[in-house]
Amino acid sequence: MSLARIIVPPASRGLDMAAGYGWPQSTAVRAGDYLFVSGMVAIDPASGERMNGTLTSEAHRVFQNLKLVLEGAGSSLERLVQVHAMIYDRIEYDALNRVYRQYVPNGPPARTVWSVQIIDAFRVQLDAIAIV
Amino acid sequence: MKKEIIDAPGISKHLKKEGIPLSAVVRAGGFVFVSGQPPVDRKTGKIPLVNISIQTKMVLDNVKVCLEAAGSSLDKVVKCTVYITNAAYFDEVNDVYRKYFKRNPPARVFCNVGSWPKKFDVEIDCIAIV
Repeated sequence: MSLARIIVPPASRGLDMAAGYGWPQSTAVRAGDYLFVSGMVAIDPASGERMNGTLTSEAHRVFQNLKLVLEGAGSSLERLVQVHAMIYDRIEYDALNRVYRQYVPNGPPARTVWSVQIIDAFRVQLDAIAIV
Repeated sequence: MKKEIIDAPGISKHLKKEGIPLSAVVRAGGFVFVSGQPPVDRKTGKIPLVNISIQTKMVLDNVKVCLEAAGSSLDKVVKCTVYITNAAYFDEVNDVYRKYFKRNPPARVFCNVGSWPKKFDVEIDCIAIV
């Protein structure tokens, strides 16, 4: 079995961290029917500006951005299979869950949450694997 | 390709009861995705205060239950991520881990992380083939 590795540019240019910030990463890479999405942080999808805020505001932004990336690649939030959720402090675990439930209300993906210092003082970062 | 939510015996029901928005196990295509497993007692749904070796054993037993519920097994794991609150537990975790992955162990990441909202020190998640 030999799969092609397809770089999928984000539907909104602001989400392209390579173009906007020079980060050496692709937003999403497809292999077969699996889509691998880079760690997403709260970025304005139009302008690419950082939208640092509360964990709740950032988590909404991240999920909306993730939705744009997934749908632009022919997938969707419903087709997420695994998520890694990084938060800046364990105290926000419940706050994350409150936002999280709104975006994956049924059949949520497998998930691991941990607390860690996140790049650029963001309060949440999600990376994901989805099926197309 | 279809996404299937797998019921992990003794694990999924506690998650549902607590309203935690994740599926313990998801199968899609030829792969199985297992959520980070804390050292939860599958009978009670509680996390006992026990040492790191026992926590690691409980976590790996839970991972095993998740994999087998999806028709996979420990020897079909391709990648594990170990999350630990104290890097000094490396040796203790490895001593237990070796008993579960005796030959040709999967790819692995060992991450030192901040603590969780409950009193435990280790979680492990993985990706396996069916």
